Amino acid sequence: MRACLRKKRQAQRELYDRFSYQMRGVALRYSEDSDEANDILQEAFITVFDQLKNYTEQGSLGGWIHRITVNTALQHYRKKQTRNTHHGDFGLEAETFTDNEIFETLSLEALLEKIQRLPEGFRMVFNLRAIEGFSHKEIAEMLGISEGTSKSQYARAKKHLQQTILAERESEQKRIHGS
Amino acid sequence: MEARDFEHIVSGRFEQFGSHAPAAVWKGIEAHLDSKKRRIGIIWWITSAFALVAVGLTLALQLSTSKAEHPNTVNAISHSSPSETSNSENKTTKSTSVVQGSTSTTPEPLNHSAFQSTPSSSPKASEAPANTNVETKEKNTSIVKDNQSSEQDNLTFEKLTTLSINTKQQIKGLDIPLSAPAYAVSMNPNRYCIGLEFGTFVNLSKLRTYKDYDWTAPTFSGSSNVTSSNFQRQFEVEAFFADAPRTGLYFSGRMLYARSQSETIADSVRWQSTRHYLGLGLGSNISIYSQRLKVIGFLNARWEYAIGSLLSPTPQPTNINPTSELYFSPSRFNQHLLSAEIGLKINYNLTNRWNLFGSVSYRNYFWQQEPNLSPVTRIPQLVKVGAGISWLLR
Repeated sequence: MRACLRKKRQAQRELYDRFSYQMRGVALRYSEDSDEANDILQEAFITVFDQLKNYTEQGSLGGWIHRITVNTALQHYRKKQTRNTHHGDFGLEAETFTDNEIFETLSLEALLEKIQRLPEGFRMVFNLRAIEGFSHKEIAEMLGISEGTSKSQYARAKKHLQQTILAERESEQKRIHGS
Repeated sequence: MEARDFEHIVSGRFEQFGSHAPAAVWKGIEAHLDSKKRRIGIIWWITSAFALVAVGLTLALQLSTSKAEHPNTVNAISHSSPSETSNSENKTTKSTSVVQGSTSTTPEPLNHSAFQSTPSSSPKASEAPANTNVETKEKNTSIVKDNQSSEQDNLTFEKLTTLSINTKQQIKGLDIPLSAPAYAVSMNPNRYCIGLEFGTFVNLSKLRTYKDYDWTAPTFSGSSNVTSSNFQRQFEVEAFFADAPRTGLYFSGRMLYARSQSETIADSVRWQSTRHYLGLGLGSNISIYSQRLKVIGFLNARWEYAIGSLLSPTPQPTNINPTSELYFSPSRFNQHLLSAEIGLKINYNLTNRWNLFGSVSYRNYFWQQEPNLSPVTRIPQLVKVGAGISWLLR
Protein backbone atom coordinates (compact mmCIF):
# COMPACT_ATOMS: atom_id res chain seq x y z
CA MET A 1 0.00 0.00 0.00
CA ARG A 2 2.73 2.43 1.01
CA ALA A 3 4.69 1.73 -2.12
CA CYS A 4 1.52 2.07 -4.20
CA LEU A 5 0.93 5.47 -2.66
CA ARG A 6 4.40 6.40 -3.75
CA LYS A 7 3.42 5.28 -7.27
CA LYS A 8 5.97 2.50 -7.34
CA ARG A 9 5.20 0.50 -10.44
CA GLN A 10 6.16 -2.88 -8.98
CA ALA A 11 3.78 -2.37 -6.05
CA GLN A 12 0.99 -1.28 -8.38
CA ARG A 13 1.52 -4.41 -10.42
CA GLU A 14 1.34 -6.55 -7.28
CA LEU A 15 -1.93 -4.93 -6.27
CA TYR A 16 -3.30 -5.49 -9.75
CA ASP A 17 -2.22 -9.14 -9.76
CA ARG A 18 -3.87 -9.66 -6.39
CA PHE A 19 -7.29 -8.29 -7.33
CA SER A 20 -7.59 -8.35 -11.13
CA TYR A 21 -8.82 -11.98 -11.28
CA GLN A 22 -11.76 -11.30 -8.97
CA MET A 23 -12.55 -7.89 -10.50
CA ARG A 24 -12.58 -9.21 -14.03
CA GLY A 25 -15.29 -11.62 -12.86
CA VAL A 26 -17.32 -8.63 -11.66
CA ALA A 27 -16.68 -6.72 -14.90
CA LEU A 28 -17.75 -9.73 -16.98
CA ARG A 29 -21.10 -9.91 -15.19
CA TYR A 30 -21.90 -6.29 -16.01
CA SER A 31 -20.68 -6.33 -19.59
CA GLU A 32 -21.90 -7.69 -22.86
CA ASP A 33 -18.63 -9.33 -23.84
CA SER A 34 -15.05 -9.76 -22.72
CA ASP A 35 -13.84 -6.67 -24.61
CA GLU A 36 -16.21 -4.45 -22.68
CA ALA A 37 -15.20 -6.24 -19.46
CA ASN A 38 -11.55 -5.49 -20.19
CA ASP A 39 -12.36 -1.82 -20.71
CA ILE A 40 -14.23 -1.69 -17.39
CA LEU A 41 -11.41 -3.48 -15.59
CA GLN A 42 -8.79 -1.12 -17.01
CA GLU A 43 -10.73 2.00 -16.09
CA ALA A 44 -11.48 0.61 -12.64
CA PHE A 45 -7.82 0.00 -11.82
CA ILE A 46 -6.81 3.43 -13.14
CA THR A 47 -9.37 4.88 -10.71
CA VAL A 48 -8.04 2.64 -7.93
CA PHE A 49 -4.47 3.92 -8.39
CA ASP A 50 -5.68 7.51 -8.65
CA GLN A 51 -7.87 7.32 -5.56
CA LEU A 52 -5.79 5.04 -3.36
CA LYS A 53 -4.84 7.99 -1.17
CA ASN A 54 -8.51 8.31 -0.25
CA TYR A 55 -8.80 4.70 0.92
CA THR A 56 -9.37 4.92 4.66
CA GLU A 57 -8.86 1.27 5.64
CA GLN A 58 -12.27 1.24 7.34
CA GLY A 59 -13.33 -1.59 5.06
CA SER A 60 -11.35 -4.24 3.24
CA LEU A 61 -9.27 -3.16 0.26
CA GLY A 62 -10.92 -5.87 -1.85
CA GLY A 63 -14.38 -4.50 -1.01
CA TRP A 64 -13.26 -0.97 -1.88
CA ILE A 65 -11.87 -2.07 -5.25
CA HIS A 66 -15.05 -4.09 -5.85
CA ARG A 67 -17.19 -0.95 -5.34
CA ILE A 68 -14.99 0.98 -7.74
CA THR A 69 -15.35 -1.75 -10.36
CA VAL A 70 -19.16 -1.77 -10.01
CA ASN A 71 -19.27 2.03 -10.21
CA THR A 72 -17.11 1.96 -13.33
CA ALA A 73 -19.50 -0.56 -14.90
CA LEU A 74 -22.43 1.72 -14.04
CA GLN A 75 -20.66 4.68 -15.63
CA HIS A 76 -20.21 2.60 -18.78
CA TYR A 77 -23.90 1.78 -18.74
CA ARG A 78 -24.88 5.45 -18.28
CA LYS A 79 -22.68 6.50 -21.17
CA LYS A 80 -24.34 3.90 -23.39
CA GLN A 81 -27.76 5.02 -22.22
CA THR A 82 -27.10 8.64 -23.19
CA ARG A 83 -25.87 7.49 -26.58
CA ASN A 84 -28.82 5.19 -27.20
CA THR A 85 -31.37 7.49 -25.51
CA HIS A 86 -33.31 4.35 -24.58
CA HIS A 87 -34.21 4.27 -20.93
CA GLY A 88 -36.33 1.11 -20.95
CA ASP A 89 -39.09 2.30 -18.67
CA PHE A 90 -41.26 -0.66 -18.03
CA GLY A 91 -44.51 -1.03 -16.16
CA LEU A 92 -44.78 -3.11 -13.03
CA GLU A 93 -44.83 -6.80 -13.54
CA ALA A 94 -45.99 -9.35 -11.08
CA GLU A 95 -43.33 -11.51 -9.47
CA THR A 96 -43.11 -14.68 -11.50
CA PHE A 97 -42.34 -18.13 -10.20
CA THR A 98 -38.63 -18.88 -10.42
CA ASP A 99 -37.27 -22.37 -10.54
CA ASN A 100 -34.23 -22.06 -8.31
CA GLU A 101 -33.03 -25.53 -9.19
CA ILE A 102 -32.07 -24.61 -12.73
CA PHE A 103 -29.88 -21.79 -11.43
CA GLU A 104 -28.14 -24.16 -9.06
CA THR A 105 -27.35 -26.86 -11.56
CA LEU A 106 -26.35 -24.74 -14.53
CA SER A 107 -22.61 -24.33 -14.97
CA LEU A 108 -21.20 -20.97 -13.88
CA GLU A 109 -19.84 -20.18 -17.37
CA ALA A 110 -23.24 -20.92 -18.92
CA LEU A 111 -25.01 -18.78 -16.34
CA LEU A 112 -22.60 -15.92 -16.98
CA GLU A 113 -23.20 -16.19 -20.70
CA LYS A 114 -26.97 -15.96 -20.13
CA ILE A 115 -26.54 -12.91 -17.92
CA GLN A 116 -24.34 -11.27 -20.54
CA ARG A 117 -27.02 -11.88 -23.16
CA LEU A 118 -29.64 -10.07 -21.11
CA PRO A 119 -30.72 -6.65 -22.37
CA GLU A 120 -28.49 -3.92 -20.91
CA GLY A 121 -30.98 -2.51 -18.35
CA PHE A 122 -32.06 -5.98 -17.21
CA ARG A 123 -28.44 -7.01 -16.75
CA MET A 124 -27.64 -4.00 -14.60
CA VAL A 125 -30.64 -4.42 -12.33
CA PHE A 126 -30.14 -8.18 -12.09
CA ASN A 127 -26.49 -7.82 -11.06
CA LEU A 128 -27.17 -5.05 -8.57
CA ARG A 129 -30.09 -6.84 -6.98
CA ALA A 130 -29.40 -10.58 -7.18
CA ILE A 131 -25.61 -10.51 -6.74
CA GLU A 132 -24.65 -7.23 -5.08
CA GLY A 133 -27.74 -7.24 -2.84
CA PHE A 134 -28.81 -3.60 -3.29
CA SER A 135 -32.42 -2.63 -2.58
CA HIS A 136 -34.65 -1.47 -5.42
CA LYS A 137 -34.60 2.02 -3.97
CA GLU A 138 -30.81 2.10 -4.09
CA ILE A 139 -30.77 0.66 -7.61
CA ALA A 140 -33.28 3.28 -8.74
CA GLU A 141 -30.99 6.02 -7.46
CA MET A 142 -27.92 4.48 -9.02
CA LEU A 143 -29.46 4.03 -12.45
CA GLY A 144 -31.67 7.09 -12.44
CA ILE A 145 -34.88 5.13 -12.84
CA SER A 146 -37.98 4.72 -10.71
CA GLU A 147 -38.16 2.06 -8.02
CA GLY A 148 -41.06 0.46 -9.92
CA THR A 149 -38.97 0.20 -13.06
CA SER A 150 -36.18 -1.43 -11.10
CA LYS A 151 -38.59 -4.03 -9.69
CA SER A 152 -40.13 -4.64 -13.08
CA GLN A 153 -36.79 -4.98 -14.85
CA TYR A 154 -35.56 -7.37 -12.19
CA ALA A 155 -38.63 -9.57 -12.54
CA ARG A 156 -38.33 -9.52 -16.32
CA ALA A 157 -34.60 -10.30 -16.12
CA LYS A 158 -35.27 -13.37 -13.96
CA LYS A 159 -38.07 -14.51 -16.26
CA HIS A 160 -35.89 -13.93 -19.30
CA LEU A 161 -33.07 -15.97 -17.81
CA GLN A 162 -35.36 -18.78 -16.77
CA GLN A 163 -37.01 -18.97 -20.17
CA THR A 164 -33.67 -18.98 -21.97
CA ILE A 165 -32.27 -21.72 -19.76
CA LEU A 166 -35.42 -23.85 -20.06
CA ALA A 167 -35.60 -23.35 -23.81
CA GLU A 168 -31.97 -24.44 -24.18
CA ARG A 169 -32.54 -27.46 -21.97
CA GLU A 170 -35.59 -28.49 -24.02
CA SER A 171 -33.76 -28.18 -27.29
CA GLU A 172 -30.87 -30.18 -25.87
CA GLN A 173 -33.19 -32.90 -24.66
CA LYS A 174 -34.90 -33.01 -28.05
CA ARG A 175 -31.50 -33.31 -29.69
CA ILE A 176 -30.53 -36.16 -27.34
CA HIS A 177 -33.85 -38.02 -27.80
CA GLY A 178 -33.89 -37.31 -31.49
CA SER A 179 -30.45 -38.80 -31.99
CA MET B 1 -38.78 -16.18 0.72
CA GLU B 2 -38.42 -17.76 -2.68
CA ALA B 3 -36.93 -14.57 -4.07
CA ARG B 4 -34.45 -14.42 -1.22
CA ASP B 5 -33.44 -18.01 -1.90
CA PHE B 6 -32.92 -17.19 -5.55
CA GLU B 7 -30.69 -14.22 -4.74
CA HIS B 8 -28.81 -16.26 -2.18
CA ILE B 9 -28.18 -19.01 -4.72
CA VAL B 10 -27.06 -16.66 -7.49
CA SER B 11 -24.84 -14.48 -5.32
CA GLY B 12 -23.35 -17.59 -3.71
CA ARG B 13 -22.48 -19.01 -7.07
CA PHE B 14 -20.66 -15.85 -8.16
CA GLU B 15 -18.93 -15.31 -4.82
CA GLN B 16 -15.60 -16.81 -5.85
CA PHE B 17 -16.04 -16.21 -9.54
CA GLY B 18 -13.17 -14.61 -11.39
CA SER B 19 -11.31 -14.62 -14.64
CA HIS B 20 -7.73 -13.98 -15.66
CA ALA B 21 -7.34 -10.63 -17.37
CA PRO B 22 -5.43 -10.52 -20.63
CA ALA B 23 -2.01 -8.83 -20.61
CA ALA B 24 -3.38 -5.97 -22.70
CA VAL B 25 -5.35 -4.66 -19.69
CA TRP B 26 -2.24 -4.09 -17.57
CA LYS B 27 -0.43 -2.59 -20.56
CA GLY B 28 -3.29 -0.12 -20.95
CA ILE B 29 -3.18 0.78 -17.24
CA GLU B 30 0.60 1.16 -17.34
CA ALA B 31 0.43 3.40 -20.40
CA HIS B 32 -2.11 5.63 -18.66
CA LEU B 33 -0.05 5.83 -15.46
CA ASP B 34 3.09 6.66 -17.45
CA SER B 35 1.36 9.42 -19.39
CA LYS B 36 0.00 10.88 -16.14
CA LYS B 37 3.43 10.80 -14.54
CA ARG B 38 4.85 12.52 -17.61
CA ARG B 39 2.11 15.16 -17.47
CA ILE B 40 2.82 15.91 -13.80
CA GLY B 41 6.54 16.06 -14.52
CA ILE B 42 5.99 18.39 -17.46
CA ILE B 43 3.84 20.73 -15.36
CA TRP B 44 6.55 21.06 -12.70
CA TRP B 45 9.34 21.46 -15.16
CA ILE B 46 7.33 24.15 -16.95
CA THR B 47 6.79 25.91 -13.61
CA SER B 48 10.48 25.84 -12.81
CA ALA B 49 11.41 26.85 -16.34
CA PHE B 50 8.98 29.75 -16.02
CA ALA B 51 10.65 30.80 -12.76
CA LEU B 52 14.08 30.72 -14.38
CA VAL B 53 12.87 32.58 -17.47
CA ALA B 54 11.29 35.21 -15.21
CA VAL B 55 14.61 35.66 -13.41
CA GLY B 56 16.44 35.86 -16.73
CA LEU B 57 13.96 38.36 -18.15
CA THR B 58 14.29 40.51 -15.06
CA LEU B 59 18.05 40.56 -15.43
CA ALA B 60 17.81 41.32 -19.16
CA LEU B 61 15.29 44.10 -18.57
CA GLN B 62 17.52 45.60 -15.92
CA LEU B 63 20.52 45.60 -18.19
CA SER B 64 18.64 47.22 -21.04
CA THR B 65 17.05 49.78 -18.69
CA SER B 66 20.38 50.71 -17.18
CA LYS B 67 21.94 51.10 -20.63
CA ALA B 68 19.17 53.48 -21.53
CA GLU B 69 20.09 55.41 -18.40
CA HIS B 70 23.51 56.41 -19.84
CA PRO B 71 22.20 59.79 -21.13
CA ASN B 72 21.04 60.55 -17.60
CA THR B 73 24.52 59.93 -16.28
CA VAL B 74 25.94 62.30 -18.88
CA ASN B 75 23.17 64.76 -18.16
CA ALA B 76 24.66 65.20 -14.72
CA ILE B 77 27.98 66.07 -16.32
CA SER B 78 26.34 68.63 -18.60
CA HIS B 79 24.91 70.46 -15.62
CA SER B 80 28.31 70.71 -13.98
CA SER B 81 30.03 73.98 -13.10
CA PRO B 82 31.33 76.33 -15.80
CA SER B 83 34.92 75.42 -14.95
CA GLU B 84 34.16 71.86 -15.92
CA THR B 85 32.47 72.91 -19.13
CA SER B 86 35.64 72.87 -21.13
CA ASN B 87 36.35 69.30 -20.02
CA SER B 88 32.89 68.13 -20.88
CA GLU B 89 33.24 70.01 -24.14
CA ASN B 90 36.32 67.99 -24.84
CA LYS B 91 34.39 64.81 -24.22
CA THR B 92 31.63 65.97 -26.51
CA THR B 93 34.04 66.63 -29.27
CA LYS B 94 35.56 63.19 -28.80
CA SER B 95 32.21 61.54 -28.95
CA THR B 96 31.37 63.46 -32.08
CA SER B 97 34.55 62.22 -33.59
CA VAL B 98 33.48 58.61 -32.89
CA VAL B 99 30.21 59.25 -34.67
CA GLN B 100 32.10 60.71 -37.56
CA GLY B 101 34.46 57.78 -37.41
CA SER B 102 32.47 55.98 -40.03
CA THR B 103 33.57 58.50 -42.66
CA SER B 104 36.92 59.60 -41.17
CA THR B 105 39.61 57.03 -40.46
CA THR B 106 41.63 59.20 -38.05
CA PRO B 107 39.20 61.30 -36.15
CA GLU B 108 41.12 61.85 -32.92
CA PRO B 109 44.18 63.76 -34.19
CA LEU B 110 41.83 65.85 -36.29
CA ASN B 111 39.89 67.01 -33.25
CA HIS B 112 42.97 67.56 -31.12
CA SER B 113 44.44 69.71 -33.83
CA ALA B 114 41.26 71.69 -33.81
CA PHE B 115 41.94 72.72 -30.25
CA GLN B 116 45.59 73.40 -30.87
CA SER B 117 45.01 75.11 -34.27
CA THR B 118 48.70 75.57 -35.10
CA PRO B 119 49.21 78.22 -37.83
CA SER B 120 52.23 76.35 -39.22
CA SER B 121 50.01 73.72 -40.77
CA SER B 122 50.89 72.60 -44.26
CA PRO B 123 48.91 74.16 -47.12
CA LYS B 124 47.21 70.84 -47.85
CA ALA B 125 46.12 70.45 -44.31
CA SER B 126 44.77 73.99 -44.21
CA GLU B 127 42.09 73.22 -46.80
CA ALA B 128 38.62 71.99 -46.03
CA PRO B 129 39.45 70.13 -42.78
CA ALA B 130 41.29 73.15 -41.51
CA ASN B 131 38.28 75.33 -42.15
CA THR B 132 36.17 72.90 -40.17
CA ASN B 133 38.69 73.00 -37.35
CA VAL B 134 38.68 76.76 -37.34
CA GLU B 135 34.89 76.76 -37.22
CA THR B 136 34.86 74.25 -34.36
CA LYS B 137 37.46 76.24 -32.49
CA GLU B 138 35.53 79.43 -32.95
CA LYS B 139 32.39 77.76 -31.76
CA ASN B 140 34.10 76.35 -28.66
CA THR B 141 35.78 79.65 -27.87
CA SER B 142 32.53 81.54 -28.18
CA ILE B 143 30.85 79.11 -25.78
CA VAL B 144 33.52 79.58 -23.14
CA LYS B 145 33.65 83.38 -23.58
CA ASP B 146 30.01 84.22 -23.92
CA ASN B 147 28.79 81.79 -21.27
CA GLN B 148 25.22 82.63 -22.11
CA SER B 149 22.55 80.30 -20.83
CA SER B 150 20.69 79.89 -24.11
CA GLU B 151 23.79 78.73 -25.87
CA GLN B 152 24.65 76.41 -23.04
CA ASP B 153 21.23 74.87 -23.33
CA ASN B 154 21.75 74.41 -27.02
CA LEU B 155 25.09 72.86 -26.37
CA THR B 156 23.68 70.53 -23.71
CA PHE B 157 21.01 69.40 -26.13
CA GLU B 158 23.65 68.87 -28.79
CA LYS B 159 25.83 66.89 -26.39
CA LEU B 160 22.99 64.73 -25.22
CA THR B 161 21.86 63.99 -28.76
CA THR B 162 25.37 63.10 -29.79
CA LEU B 163 25.97 60.88 -26.79
CA SER B 164 22.63 59.17 -27.17
CA ILE B 165 23.48 58.30 -30.73
CA ASN B 166 26.87 57.17 -29.55
CA THR B 167 25.43 54.91 -26.82
CA LYS B 168 22.88 53.44 -29.19
CA GLN B 169 25.62 52.63 -31.66
CA GLN B 170 27.62 50.93 -28.96
CA ILE B 171 24.68 48.82 -27.84
CA LYS B 172 23.57 48.00 -31.34
CA GLY B 173 27.00 47.00 -32.56
CA LEU B 174 28.05 45.60 -29.17
CA ASP B 175 31.26 47.57 -29.56
CA ILE B 176 31.83 47.47 -25.83
CA PRO B 177 31.09 44.23 -24.02
CA LEU B 178 29.80 44.44 -20.47
CA SER B 179 33.10 45.53 -19.02
CA ALA B 180 33.52 46.23 -15.32
CA PRO B 181 33.00 50.03 -15.48
CA ALA B 182 29.98 49.64 -17.77
CA TYR B 183 28.52 47.08 -15.39
CA ALA B 184 29.07 49.38 -12.46
CA VAL B 185 27.20 52.13 -14.24
CA SER B 186 24.37 49.91 -15.44
CA MET B 187 23.80 48.33 -12.02
CA ASN B 188 23.48 51.47 -10.03
CA PRO B 189 25.01 50.45 -6.68
CA ASN B 190 22.77 52.86 -4.81
CA ARG B 191 19.88 50.53 -5.33
CA TYR B 192 21.40 47.32 -3.93
CA CYS B 193 20.43 45.92 -0.60
CA ILE B 194 21.45 42.98 1.56
CA GLY B 195 19.25 41.31 4.12
CA LEU B 196 18.43 38.42 6.37
CA GLU B 197 15.15 36.56 6.45
CA PHE B 198 13.89 34.07 8.99
CA GLY B 199 11.05 31.75 8.04
CA THR B 200 8.97 28.95 9.47
CA PHE B 201 6.75 26.51 7.63
CA VAL B 202 3.43 24.72 7.52
CA ASN B 203 3.48 21.46 5.58
CA LEU B 204 0.29 21.36 3.50
CA SER B 205 0.86 17.72 2.62
CA LYS B 206 0.76 16.94 6.34
CA LEU B 207 -2.64 18.57 6.72
CA ARG B 208 -4.30 16.14 4.36
CA THR B 209 -6.62 13.59 5.83
CA TYR B 210 -5.19 10.43 4.35
CA LYS B 211 -2.25 8.64 5.80
CA ASP B 212 0.82 10.00 4.20
CA TYR B 213 4.13 8.42 3.48
CA ASP B 214 6.36 11.36 3.15
CA TRP B 215 9.50 11.86 1.13
CA THR B 216 11.99 11.98 3.97
CA ALA B 217 10.64 8.99 5.83
CA PRO B 218 13.01 6.12 6.40
CA THR B 219 12.70 3.19 4.08
CA PHE B 220 11.58 0.01 5.79
CA SER B 221 12.14 -3.46 4.55
CA GLY B 222 10.13 -6.47 5.60
CA SER B 223 6.55 -6.11 6.74
CA SER B 224 6.79 -2.99 8.91
CA ASN B 225 3.49 -1.26 9.34
CA VAL B 226 3.93 2.48 8.92
CA THR B 227 1.01 4.26 10.52
CA SER B 228 2.15 7.84 9.97
CA SER B 229 5.03 9.76 8.58
CA ASN B 230 5.60 13.47 8.61
CA PHE B 231 8.13 15.96 7.44
CA GLN B 232 8.46 19.35 9.08
CA ARG B 233 10.79 22.11 8.03
CA GLN B 234 11.32 23.83 11.33
CA PHE B 235 13.06 26.99 10.23
CA GLU B 236 15.08 28.52 7.48
CA VAL B 237 17.49 31.45 7.49
CA GLU B 238 18.28 33.16 4.24
CA ALA B 239 20.83 35.82 3.46
CA PHE B 240 19.98 37.68 0.32
CA PHE B 241 21.36 40.24 -2.01
CA ALA B 242 18.97 42.19 -4.19
CA ASP B 243 18.55 45.11 -6.39
CA ALA B 244 16.11 47.40 -4.62
CA PRO B 245 14.29 49.79 -6.86
CA ARG B 246 11.31 51.61 -5.45
CA THR B 247 9.17 50.15 -8.17
CA GLY B 248 9.61 47.74 -11.05
CA LEU B 249 11.22 44.42 -11.80
CA TYR B 250 14.40 43.30 -10.12
CA PHE B 251 16.28 40.15 -9.22
CA SER B 252 17.65 38.69 -6.03
CA GLY B 253 20.18 36.06 -5.12
CA ARG B 254 19.99 34.12 -1.87
CA MET B 255 21.80 31.59 0.30
CA LEU B 256 19.95 29.51 2.83
CA TYR B 257 20.38 27.24 5.78
CA ALA B 258 17.39 25.18 6.91
CA ARG B 259 16.70 22.55 9.53
CA SER B 260 14.04 19.87 9.14
CA GLN B 261 12.67 17.08 11.23
CA SER B 262 11.02 13.92 10.02
CA GLU B 263 9.06 11.57 12.17
CA THR B 264 7.72 8.16 11.27
CA ILE B 265 5.70 5.80 13.38
CA ALA B 266 6.18 2.20 12.33
CA ASP B 267 5.27 -0.87 14.31
CA SER B 268 4.33 1.48 17.17
CA VAL B 269 7.89 2.82 17.26
CA ARG B 270 8.67 6.47 16.70
CA TRP B 271 11.60 7.10 14.40
CA GLN B 272 12.99 10.60 14.25
CA SER B 273 15.69 12.19 12.20
CA THR B 274 17.02 15.69 11.72
CA ARG B 275 18.69 16.99 8.64
CA HIS B 276 20.29 20.20 7.56
CA TYR B 277 20.13 21.92 4.24
CA LEU B 278 22.29 24.44 2.45
CA GLY B 279 21.00 26.08 -0.68
CA LEU B 280 21.20 28.77 -3.29
CA GLY B 281 18.36 30.59 -4.97
CA LEU B 282 17.50 33.12 -7.59
CA GLY B 283 14.42 35.28 -7.50
CA SER B 284 12.45 37.49 -9.79
CA ASN B 285 10.61 40.30 -8.03
CA ILE B 286 8.22 43.09 -8.86
CA SER B 287 7.63 45.93 -6.43
CA ILE B 288 5.15 48.76 -6.03
CA TYR B 289 5.69 51.46 -3.42
CA SER B 290 3.61 53.98 -1.56
CA GLN B 291 5.21 56.26 1.03
CA ARG B 292 7.29 54.05 3.31
CA LEU B 293 5.52 50.83 2.32
CA LYS B 294 6.53 48.65 -0.57
CA VAL B 295 4.61 45.57 -1.75
CA ILE B 296 6.72 43.00 -3.52
CA GLY B 297 5.53 39.98 -5.45
CA PHE B 298 8.20 37.36 -5.97
CA LEU B 299 8.91 34.12 -7.77
CA ASN B 300 11.93 32.17 -6.54
CA ALA B 301 13.72 29.07 -7.74
CA ARG B 302 15.92 27.18 -5.28
CA TRP B 303 18.45 24.40 -5.26
CA GLU B 304 19.14 22.74 -1.93
CA TYR B 305 21.49 20.09 -0.72
CA ALA B 306 20.67 18.02 2.36
CA ILE B 307 23.69 17.31 4.53
CA GLY B 308 22.17 15.22 7.28
CA SER B 309 24.84 12.60 7.04
CA LEU B 310 27.47 15.13 7.99
CA LEU B 311 25.78 16.67 11.00
CA SER B 312 23.73 13.70 12.18
CA PRO B 313 25.49 10.58 10.89
CA THR B 314 22.66 8.18 11.60
CA PRO B 315 19.04 8.81 12.46
CA GLN B 316 18.48 8.23 16.11
CA PRO B 317 15.23 6.44 16.83
CA THR B 318 13.78 7.08 20.26
CA ASN B 319 13.10 3.41 20.67
CA ILE B 320 14.32 0.37 18.82
CA ASN B 321 12.08 -2.44 17.78
CA PRO B 322 14.31 -5.38 16.93
CA THR B 323 11.61 -6.95 14.78
CA SER B 324 11.44 -4.18 12.25
CA GLU B 325 14.28 -3.60 9.90
CA LEU B 326 15.08 -0.03 9.12
CA TYR B 327 17.45 1.53 6.74
CA PHE B 328 17.96 5.00 5.42
CA SER B 329 19.10 5.27 1.89
CA PRO B 330 22.29 7.38 1.87
CA SER B 331 20.77 9.60 -0.79
CA ARG B 332 18.06 10.60 1.64
CA PHE B 333 20.72 12.59 3.40
CA ASN B 334 23.03 13.60 0.58
CA GLN B 335 20.35 14.57 -1.85
CA HIS B 336 19.74 17.48 -4.15
CA LEU B 337 16.35 19.22 -4.18
CA LEU B 338 14.75 21.73 -6.49
CA SER B 339 11.85 23.96 -5.55
CA ALA B 340 9.78 26.83 -6.89
CA GLU B 341 8.19 29.43 -4.65
CA ILE B 342 5.68 32.20 -5.19
CA GLY B 343 4.78 34.81 -2.60
CA LEU B 344 4.13 38.31 -1.40
CA LYS B 345 6.35 40.53 0.74
CA ILE B 346 5.54 43.78 2.50
CA ASN B 347 8.51 46.04 3.15
CA TYR B 348 8.51 48.97 5.57
CA ASN B 349 11.17 51.63 5.21
CA LEU B 350 12.39 52.40 8.74
CA THR B 351 15.19 54.83 7.89
CA ASN B 352 17.12 55.77 4.80
CA ARG B 353 18.91 52.47 4.98
CA TRP B 354 17.02 50.04 7.17
CA ASN B 355 13.91 48.14 6.12
CA LEU B 356 11.70 45.65 7.91
CA PHE B 357 9.62 43.14 6.00
CA GLY B 358 7.22 40.23 6.35
CA SER B 359 6.36 37.63 3.74
CA VAL B 360 3.99 34.78 2.96
CA SER B 361 4.75 32.29 0.22
CA TYR B 362 3.88 28.90 -1.20
CA ARG B 363 6.76 26.57 -1.96
CA ASN B 364 6.61 23.34 -3.89
CA TYR B 365 9.47 20.90 -4.16
CA PHE B 366 9.14 19.44 -7.61
CA TRP B 367 12.23 17.26 -7.72
CA GLN B 368 14.51 15.43 -5.37
CA GLN B 369 17.33 13.09 -6.05
CA GLU B 370 16.45 9.48 -5.39
CA PRO B 371 18.76 6.46 -5.34
CA ASN B 372 17.79 5.59 -8.89
CA LEU B 373 17.56 9.29 -9.84
CA SER B 374 13.85 8.97 -10.52
CA PRO B 375 11.71 11.75 -9.08
CA VAL B 376 9.17 10.83 -6.40
CA THR B 377 5.71 12.28 -6.42
CA ARG B 378 4.97 12.47 -2.70
CA ILE B 379 6.92 15.59 -1.90
CA PRO B 380 5.76 18.37 0.35
CA GLN B 381 4.07 21.60 -0.44
CA LEU B 382 4.97 24.18 2.15
CA VAL B 383 3.60 27.54 3.19
CA LYS B 384 6.30 29.81 4.51
CA VAL B 385 5.78 32.72 6.85
CA GLY B 386 8.85 34.90 7.01
CA ALA B 387 10.15 38.10 8.49
CA GLY B 388 13.43 39.93 8.12
CA ILE B 389 15.50 43.02 7.86
CA SER B 390 17.40 44.57 4.98
CA TRP B 391 20.00 47.27 4.60
CA LEU B 392 20.45 49.52 1.57
CA LEU B 393 23.97 49.77 0.22
CA ARG B 394 25.23 53.15 -0.91
